[in-house]
Amino acid sequence: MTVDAAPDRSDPLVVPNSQHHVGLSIRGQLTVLFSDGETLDCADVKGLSAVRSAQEITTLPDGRPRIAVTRLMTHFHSNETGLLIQQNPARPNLGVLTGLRPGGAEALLPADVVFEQYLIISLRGRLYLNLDPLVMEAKAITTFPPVGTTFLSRTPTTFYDVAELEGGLYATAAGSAKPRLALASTSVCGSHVTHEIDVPTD
Amino acid sequence: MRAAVVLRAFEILVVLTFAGVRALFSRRRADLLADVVVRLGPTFLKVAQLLGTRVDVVPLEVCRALARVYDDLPAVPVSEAEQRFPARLRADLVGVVPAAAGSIACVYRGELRDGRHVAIKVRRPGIDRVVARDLAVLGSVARLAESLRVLGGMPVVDVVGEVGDAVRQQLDFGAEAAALRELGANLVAVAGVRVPDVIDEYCGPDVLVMEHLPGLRDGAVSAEAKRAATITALRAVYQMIFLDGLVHCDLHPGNLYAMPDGSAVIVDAGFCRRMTESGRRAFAGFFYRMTRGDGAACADVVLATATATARSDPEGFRTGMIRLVESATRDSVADFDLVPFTVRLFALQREHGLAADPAFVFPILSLVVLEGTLREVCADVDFQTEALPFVLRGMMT
Repeated sequence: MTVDAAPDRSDPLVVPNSQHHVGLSIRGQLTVLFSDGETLDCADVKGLSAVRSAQEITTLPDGRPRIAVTRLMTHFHSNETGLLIQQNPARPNLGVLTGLRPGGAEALLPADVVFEQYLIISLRGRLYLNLDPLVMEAKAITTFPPVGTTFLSRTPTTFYDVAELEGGLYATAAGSAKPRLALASTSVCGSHVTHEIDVPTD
Repeated sequence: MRAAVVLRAFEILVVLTFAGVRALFSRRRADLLADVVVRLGPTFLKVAQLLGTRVDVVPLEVCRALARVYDDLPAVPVSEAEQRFPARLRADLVGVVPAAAGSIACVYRGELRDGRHVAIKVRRPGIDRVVARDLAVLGSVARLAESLRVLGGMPVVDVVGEVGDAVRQQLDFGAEAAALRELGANLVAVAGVRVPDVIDEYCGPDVLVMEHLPGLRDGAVSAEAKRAATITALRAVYQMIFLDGLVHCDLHPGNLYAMPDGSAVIVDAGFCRRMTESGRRAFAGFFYRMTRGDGAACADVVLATATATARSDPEGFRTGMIRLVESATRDSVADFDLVPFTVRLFALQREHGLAADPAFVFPILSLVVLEGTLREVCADVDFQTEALPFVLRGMMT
């Protein structure tokens, strides 16, 4: 592994076939809502994220380039509240990056990017997972990975107690289980890099 | 009774014939409709008010015309009303004055010997017979209209039956007292909402006695207080429809008051509907899916609850629902407009042969009734953002 001192993350050609591990702290609002009306604001969320992009570029009917992106790791924690958010390894966490103008790889930035995330929340001794994806979007990103830009989740997402779901971590349907909490980041959820590790692809 | 129904049907026919002739030459047909309803008497007045909220089955322009129908009738004189008071109430009252008069009941303000002020709601004499006779006429007309298909495929008999039930419910003061008590207990959860307490020891079959809340109709409320009270009332409705399941379906300006301190007072629980537990959860689930822009999942919820008719087309409905939800969530949630969305949702169900489940009709209607006040007092209110905490808790409980 090597540490690249200053990669040019605004170059569209860095997008295809890349892999990035990034340390982040989240600005904005991350709130957990419970069924009894209690809310838990998590203001000190920090962690790590890893994203890989595909090699192949597809072209939309209007000529814009699109590339698949995969979130390899999500690991955030809040020391104040004890909240721990991790990626659910039982489900893929996929996304797409779509260039804003027609072209090939050179038009991959600026772009819109959207991730559908399946997570595991650890809180107060229980594990919770989401069955509907937590959809995080960023518009008109100019760098990749798009740290430092604003991600927005339009609506809160409900989470179920893993112990109440048939299939546990592998569950894809609620059955008779009720959601036990919801994760809301309805305001802008920005982030900034605390440190960055590029892992060049061989 | 049969002769009375026939005579009444003839009287209604005469009024409608004259109104029909006038309508041919009038541009102010909405006023004419309101005038006809008032002429037809208290049952029709109440039916019109209730139909005016039924955007699920009545065209929007007719709803708007019916929404202009207000019952502004003379109060029954105090001396006559007092004869219907239970003996204990008569004995303990030291003063009574008329406060309001509706088509079903009149309200008086009274003072008790112990200094307490009370609101006394008294059913109009003979109103139960009038309502029974008029609803019998309406039922016959509905059956005839449905068999002749004069109103297209509208389920006229069902709608008239539902509205008739709602009118009859308003005659049942025992049920209203129970609803007031339950609403009061439930809405403790929403800061700034008040429901008058029922004073059981003075109530009777035709008389409902409640605490009198001073300043209710004074009108000296600042714009800020009105705004705060209206948003509080919206939260109260969300509490009812997403969490409690007992819904006040008639929160028009005469039943909802803003107080100078920004609190909201809800009165007259004569038209409440109880949702089933599964219906409440389905409604919360529908709203959650809608905020996520997931039209297919919204369609699944509706299809699981609606009644399919012989010409039902679930796939056509699903396609329409996906488009509707996409269009409703394409822009900012603040741009969401409830009434057009609701009208289109119900129209989609009719177009594709689905009869909406009451679990969906009544909670939406409660919001539609409140919507006029919301638009007038705080047009920038964001329905979805305000709703979300209640929706999420509604799904979790």
